[in-house]
Amino acid sequence: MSYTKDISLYLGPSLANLTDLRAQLLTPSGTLYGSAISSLFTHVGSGSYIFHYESYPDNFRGGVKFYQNAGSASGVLAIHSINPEEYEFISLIKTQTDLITAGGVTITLASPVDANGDITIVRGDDYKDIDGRALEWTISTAPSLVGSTCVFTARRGNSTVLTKSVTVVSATEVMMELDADDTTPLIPSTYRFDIEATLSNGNIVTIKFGEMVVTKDVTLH
Amino acid sequence: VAYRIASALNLGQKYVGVDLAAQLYASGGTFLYGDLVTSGFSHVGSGCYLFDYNYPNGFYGHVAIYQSGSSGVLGLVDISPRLEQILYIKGKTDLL
Repeated sequence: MSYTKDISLYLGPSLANLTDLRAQLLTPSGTLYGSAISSLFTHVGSGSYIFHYESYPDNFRGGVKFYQNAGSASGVLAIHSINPEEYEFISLIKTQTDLITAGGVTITLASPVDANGDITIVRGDDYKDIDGRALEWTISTAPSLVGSTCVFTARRGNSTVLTKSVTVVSATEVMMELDADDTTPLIPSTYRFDIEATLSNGNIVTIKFGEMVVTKDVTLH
Repeated sequence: VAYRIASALNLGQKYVGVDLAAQLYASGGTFLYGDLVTSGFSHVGSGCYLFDYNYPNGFYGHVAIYQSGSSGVLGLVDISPRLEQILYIKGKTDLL
């Protein structure tokens, strides 16, 4: 999903009413990104222009340079920096905070496993399949897991803080449930974990490395 | 964790294709922060540059731009951790 941003340019009266202005997106290292844009300029008077562009790519960082086509692309009239945090991310944050409704807060609990396979859990919570909260991973870089035995181990420094059996759901999917008894003793912190599979032929494969973040609860158990 | 900002610098025709350096100053401008930075500059034409830099976590201050070997300040860029905080907030609201 692209986003929109206007840029105002003051080029001075000697450059009023130009009809051949161009904008060129640049990567942070100054290389060209995409093609030059020619049609989105409005002259508002005395060499002041508004550049209205609706297709900044997601996560785009770098700049936009402005030049006259009659000159050369190296004859830069102005430059403007673009950082996704300034515009795009604020819009995305608004979309998310709009989920908070007047008179109450509607929160959809996110999966405790993120897109990278890392975990964020709350100390003292249960993570059960029946509640739709089990921790699930799709493993694409291992042999078939059918018939294997999988174990989750989380460590902090040299200390093992949690060992748990992991259920094989399919050839490429595993699932783990946690009880409050598992999560309550965990000190809020960041831990390393792996999931090790003993395949049906006896070979051992580590199918996942990651981080487990344990956040504080408020209600003590 | 550092946070990244691309800054645009228009130094004018006198400074086409020169070697630039940057010095971070902590908020208030009194204290130098770190060493002189000489990388991350890209000249895009006519004395216009992009400066791409990863700022220290929580850095709040300014960046003075110099021509390498000279002590004359060509430009001053304000750096606020606001953008870093927006990135942090986005990470949190993505969990909603």
